[in-house]
Amino acid sequence: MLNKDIIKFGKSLLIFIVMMVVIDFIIGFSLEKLYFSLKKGQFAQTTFSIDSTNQEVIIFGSSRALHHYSSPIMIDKLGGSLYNAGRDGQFIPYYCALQDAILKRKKPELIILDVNVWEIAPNDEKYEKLSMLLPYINNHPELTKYIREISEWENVKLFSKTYPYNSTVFVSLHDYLFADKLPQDDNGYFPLDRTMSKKDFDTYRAKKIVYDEKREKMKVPFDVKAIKYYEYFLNQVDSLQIPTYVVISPTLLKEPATKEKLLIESIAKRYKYVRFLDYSGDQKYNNHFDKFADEFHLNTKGSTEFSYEISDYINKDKTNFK
Amino acid sequence: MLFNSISFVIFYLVVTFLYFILPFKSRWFLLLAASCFFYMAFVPSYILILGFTIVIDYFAGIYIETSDGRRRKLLLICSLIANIGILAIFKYFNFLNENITLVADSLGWHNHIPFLTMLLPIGLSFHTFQAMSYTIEVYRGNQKAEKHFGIYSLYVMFYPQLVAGPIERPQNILHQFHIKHEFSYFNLVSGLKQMAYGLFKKLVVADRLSIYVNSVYNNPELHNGSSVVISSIFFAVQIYCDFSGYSDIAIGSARTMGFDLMTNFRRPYFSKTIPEFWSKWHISLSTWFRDYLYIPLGGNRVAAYRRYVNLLIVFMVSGLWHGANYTFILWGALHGLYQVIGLITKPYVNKFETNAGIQDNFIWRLSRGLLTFGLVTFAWIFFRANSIHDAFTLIGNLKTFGEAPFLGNGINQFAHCILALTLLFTIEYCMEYHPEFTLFNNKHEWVRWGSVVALLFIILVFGVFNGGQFIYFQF
Repeated sequence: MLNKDIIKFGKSLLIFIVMMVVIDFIIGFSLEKLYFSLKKGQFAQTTFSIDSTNQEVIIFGSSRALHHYSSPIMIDKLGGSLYNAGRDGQFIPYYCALQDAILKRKKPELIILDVNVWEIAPNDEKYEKLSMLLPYINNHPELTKYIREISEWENVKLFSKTYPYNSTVFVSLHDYLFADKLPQDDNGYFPLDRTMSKKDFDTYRAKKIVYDEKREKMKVPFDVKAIKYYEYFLNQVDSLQIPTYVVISPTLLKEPATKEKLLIESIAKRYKYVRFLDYSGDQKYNNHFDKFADEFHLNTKGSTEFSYEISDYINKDKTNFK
Repeated sequence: MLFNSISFVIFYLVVTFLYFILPFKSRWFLLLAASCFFYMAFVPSYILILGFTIVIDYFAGIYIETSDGRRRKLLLICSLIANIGILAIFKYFNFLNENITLVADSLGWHNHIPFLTMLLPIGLSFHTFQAMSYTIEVYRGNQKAEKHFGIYSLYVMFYPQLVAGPIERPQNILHQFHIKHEFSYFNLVSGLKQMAYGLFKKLVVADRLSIYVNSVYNNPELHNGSSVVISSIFFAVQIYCDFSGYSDIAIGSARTMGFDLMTNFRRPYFSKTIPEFWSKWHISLSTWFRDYLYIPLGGNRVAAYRRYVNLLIVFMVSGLWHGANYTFILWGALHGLYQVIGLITKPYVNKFETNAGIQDNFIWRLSRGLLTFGLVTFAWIFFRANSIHDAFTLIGNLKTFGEAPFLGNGINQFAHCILALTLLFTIEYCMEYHPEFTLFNNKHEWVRWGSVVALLFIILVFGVFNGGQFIYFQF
């Protein structure tokens, strides 16, 4: 009886493993084909950023970078080529990974790093979201150290051909099926055409006051690892002598001088080839909800104004690097 | 070591393999050593706390059995004090101290008692209650004292249910450690299937919904009523899948070695009343409170008002068991209140049902089910909120219900949430109302295989692989 059960289990296990490997290969292969066939959308943009970016000016950052820096305006004002590599919901570890992938190919002439005021506050999401890099790991060994930030067992999980495409199916299918209806980016830049309402602004302002007070009392520690990544990014540009602007782009409400913001500034100021620009208290944008699409992002009007402003500043300032 | 980690998969495979190849006499030692290793993977030194209560309860059990009269009672009290004392120090001391400080400050005094800076030993409430059930059952004469120190230690420390239950009774599990469990294809396969379903609940449903829930509950000021309603419903499902998923993995992993752990959840959200909900939710804890607190307080055999008070006490203590925070106490009190109101209105509801002849009416039953779910979900707001203030902020935000809800970081997350809910509801609905339509135990082999493989690929394609620990670990 005992032997019979063991033999039965052994056979079943063998069949099960073979089935899993075959199906994993088929699903993984299909998802890979689908993913890398995308021409528009966030995955296609990430693929372009990692595999093909070789412009002279590159903008790094989160969705705020993506929507705040108008590529056509900045190309016109700064001259040369430019790519906005901002990505929704990403943080400093992602910018570093992208920087490594780009620097392997080309040394840009100018870099703009758009940072959030909460960039170095603790938030596990910033490491979990590095899973966005999983589809690229086979062709980009330089990304391996970032993959390890997701979890210590990531290399084991990568035995599966399906796993790198975990949670990508809906977006991939959507971007594949509705490619014609998706807005086309302009060298990475995505304008937001909507405008925030007065009512939404008032609601947000009331909530933000409560939120800021609460946050001040919470005594949130720094994310030491994120600080190291930030320093890593700046060390790289400084050692390669790439003029770099670390920018806190305009915010709807004036951001308080939090310890995170002060540290971001003080670290940036340590480097010879790095300038720090803070627009989070700029009265031209603060409370001007007509320049914002939502609480966190400038709309087309705001980003146009900001893109002209920062381009002019850079044009005046960049000779100082030499 | 989390059940949803690769480390656990390796640990589980090694332990299960060794369990079946080792001679019966040494299996208890393997399981005990594995359980110690499993527990020490969290904070190694905390095993000493477990060791302390194990020694006390082991000897208390033996002496209680051989004693009678006052001495017997005294031994039980000593054992209970040791267990509750440990729990009080680690779990409730800071809470108590905080309240003393508040009162002292309001009176202009200064409280000099320092706060403890130690972390709460993982699963302390679970193994404390399991240890207490042993000495109480020995005292009541329902269980013989365990003479084998290793087996007794294993009763408290058995790794599948060590950190989050089910809170076992000695009558159910202790004798199983003395039985030789042969390798069984059926046990192994059914256990693995239950583990896979538990993983699905945790990775595909609970951890996916938690992303949205955390966004709202960690920033209550920033979200409107629609988002609060959605996140609260999501949390109701999240906590069910998180905890019952854990229980499924625990029960399944024990079953693969031949052990039968008690059922902890029976699809509670299909309940039509709050008492029915509690008969299906965290069964091992609710029956613990019934047997060791509610019945000793008088149970149902007391005057109505006394019964109401008892119910309130039991549910508030249950809330406190979950955590040293007023949010949990209020959650428990709310459930106590639901029970009391349910008891008071029960005769009128029954009369109305009979007169209207709607006992079996689908709409009536659905309405009762939705009302029960609504009440339970409302109470979860207090359970999940980070503070009482946050809970009331969220409830206050309900007045803006109707505004467009927050959809998370892009529609992708929300679509995953909807998919997860649809899959879960379909599977659980079939289990509850059409048990004959089973996928995992279907009479056709290809359906059984296909459903398990499909479940695993659903986990692989749609699961959240870095969702973190189980909610009930903190208790």
